[in-house]
Amino acid sequence: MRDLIKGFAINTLSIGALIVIWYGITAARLVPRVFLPSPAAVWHSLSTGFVSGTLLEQTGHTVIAMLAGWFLCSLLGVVLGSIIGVWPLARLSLGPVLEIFRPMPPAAVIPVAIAIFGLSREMSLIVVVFGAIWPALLATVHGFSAIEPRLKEVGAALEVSPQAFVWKIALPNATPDIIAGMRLSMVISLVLVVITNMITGQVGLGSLVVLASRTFDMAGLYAGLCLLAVIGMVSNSVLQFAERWLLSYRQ
Amino acid sequence: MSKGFNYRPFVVLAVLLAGWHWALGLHHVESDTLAPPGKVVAELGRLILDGTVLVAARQTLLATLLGLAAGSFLGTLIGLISGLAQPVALAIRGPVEVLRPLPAIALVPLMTITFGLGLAMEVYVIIFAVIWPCIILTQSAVRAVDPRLLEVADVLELSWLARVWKIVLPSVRPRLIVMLRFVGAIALLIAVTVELVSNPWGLGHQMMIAEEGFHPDRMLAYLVVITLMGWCLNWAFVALERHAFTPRLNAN
Repeated sequence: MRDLIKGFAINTLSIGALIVIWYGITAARLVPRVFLPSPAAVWHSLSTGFVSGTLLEQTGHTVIAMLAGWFLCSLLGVVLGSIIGVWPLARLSLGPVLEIFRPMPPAAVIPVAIAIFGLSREMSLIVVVFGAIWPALLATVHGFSAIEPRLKEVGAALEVSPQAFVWKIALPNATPDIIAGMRLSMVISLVLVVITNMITGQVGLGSLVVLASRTFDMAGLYAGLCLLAVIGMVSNSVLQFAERWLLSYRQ
Repeated sequence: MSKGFNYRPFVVLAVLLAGWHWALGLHHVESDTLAPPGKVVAELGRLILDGTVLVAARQTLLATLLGLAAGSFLGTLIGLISGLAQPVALAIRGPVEVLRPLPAIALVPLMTITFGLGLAMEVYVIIFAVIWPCIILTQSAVRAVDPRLLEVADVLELSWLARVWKIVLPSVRPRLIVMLRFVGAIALLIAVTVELVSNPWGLGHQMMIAEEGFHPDRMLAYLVVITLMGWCLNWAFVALERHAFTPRLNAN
């Protein structure tokens, strides 16, 4: 607990130092205002945006889209991964096919998705699911393949049904891998939500950043970036915390 | 089941391709959004013959490799320094944790205003995306160096540079190469995405142009090329890994 507080204090100090340096650079006018607004201007932009509610709406849309995509792809990833993990025929036939699609940069699907679904929220969701499913899916497959052989023997000796085997032995055993994969999926979801949002221009932080840059509203742009950093950091630390809590029985 | 040729993935692929062809090609529909596989292959051949795809692929590859080289060099350097010196690690941890989760693509508008469109902007975005995982992975690789080796360095009274060059780098090399494969995929992803979003350069831009011009065959041909490129990049790094790991296996 003391280490936790100490770590927190050091982090706050170093981030504070960074902001002070930022303030110093803008106050001394080392960099033109067009490229780097002062922290005060960014803070002003953030506070007025939240008071008027526009920023809240944009943040909300981005966070909801990210969570929806992440939830869907985690669910699909774990279900598909379990099927591939326990069914040898599926592993032999689908495994190599997945290896073909995996190195495809997820964003490259965006034009195809736009051609089929238009500039809609569904398009965004599908791109997120397609791109962010890999870590969860592959982690599940890996978790299933790494089951201790003796546990399999125990399952065989107890003559458990395949469903019970998945539910009682395989899934609990693969949980650490799955959670690690889900954390990566969350990062990718946020990235893809922002990208699709930048392209479609619907309400959200991605379009906010683009619009702010087109109107040379640098304070607004930095405000958007700050919010995105906070969303990424909070979601990651929540999952990290959940990981530690869920896996505490293993230590 | 493990013996013999595993034909099943080819069956799955054939079924997928046949389904795709059947859905689009059979009724001779003129679609503005999708094209049957035959047309995509024909368009891909045409694009390779007239050279447009090669020019675009070279641009994307150039940006990817430049960004990857600069980003992983800087990230590894910072990772090495902070991995060896605890106070530095503590000082940079906060800023790294704040900046790392920021999606690099969100920086595109800022980078466009600062550097303009073109190669430089794309490379800077890639550097930003690549540097954080490099710092973190190098740090953990340096911490995993056998403490006895560092004691040897102490006993030999090696200078900091000699210590890094002779003790730390050789022992973290395998993990650095694995890291390179991981961030290589990120670099290509970011390169293509920057091109898709705004940069008039490379494969991503050509793909977006094809989509906006209602040329589904061309769009899908570029998707195939981008996927192939990701595949080749991955394959090259796997080959590098094998190359780097074999001497060790022989030595044992």
